[in-house]
Amino acid sequence: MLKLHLLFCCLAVASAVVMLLVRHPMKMALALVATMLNLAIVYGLSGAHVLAIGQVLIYVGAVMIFMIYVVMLLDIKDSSLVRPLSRYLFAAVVVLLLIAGISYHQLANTVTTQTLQAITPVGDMLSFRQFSEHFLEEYWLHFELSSVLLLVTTVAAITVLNFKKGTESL
Amino acid sequence: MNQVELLFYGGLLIVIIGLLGVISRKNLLSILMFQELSLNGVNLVLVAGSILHHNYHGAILSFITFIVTAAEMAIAILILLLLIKKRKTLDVTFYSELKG
Repeated sequence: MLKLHLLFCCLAVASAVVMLLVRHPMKMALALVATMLNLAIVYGLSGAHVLAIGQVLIYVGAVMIFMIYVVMLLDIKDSSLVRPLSRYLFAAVVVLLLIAGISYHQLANTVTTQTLQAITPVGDMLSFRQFSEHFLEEYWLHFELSSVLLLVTTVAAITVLNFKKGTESL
Repeated sequence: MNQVELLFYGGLLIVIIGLLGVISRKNLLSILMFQELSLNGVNLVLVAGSILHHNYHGAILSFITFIVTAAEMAIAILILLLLIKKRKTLDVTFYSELKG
């Protein structure tokens, strides 16, 4: 099982690296879809089936379809596609290497051998039934708030679409 | 290497790659995609934390993140469409009015 975890984790990271290497947004979007699908498989292997389903339905099925629609509206001769890299690349690499080093150090301290030995098998802890029961018992307020958030988003989307010409400031 | 370690380090790598993309790219849509990638990495770390501490909190927070991301993307993509309509470009160097 660990080998499968390792395989799909490596595939997810490899797809993320491909995103960095390609220039065209459509190829980038497809690499992102590959990363998300690999992560969904990793969630499934970890026993978090709800998250695997959510990953495929919400991220791949909804968010990425939106993205691909926008990619189709892009002008291929856009200056940001001809020269995609900003002048902050070197600074970004240095700062992120620093962040990666610090995070690795912190993780290595947190995930010690003792904590790893204390882990009990996941079993059906994150299964659909258990997850749903805990979600709706302990986090019902968050669930309701998220529905309010989606309603507000819908209203905001309609407002943006009805942007009057006289109030344009872009 | 343990499964939890693998998830933690995989998530960390994905977050770092996403942040690198956000800073190094000039196209707004690409930046948005790398931001999504970072969020995916964060979700992976949350699930790993949930398994490590043997509780539901990380996994549930991860699920709520899905919902918030869907809402955020709906607005962000509409704004991108408005930007394409008005300025005909998604190059961030053309949107520097708020820089001061």
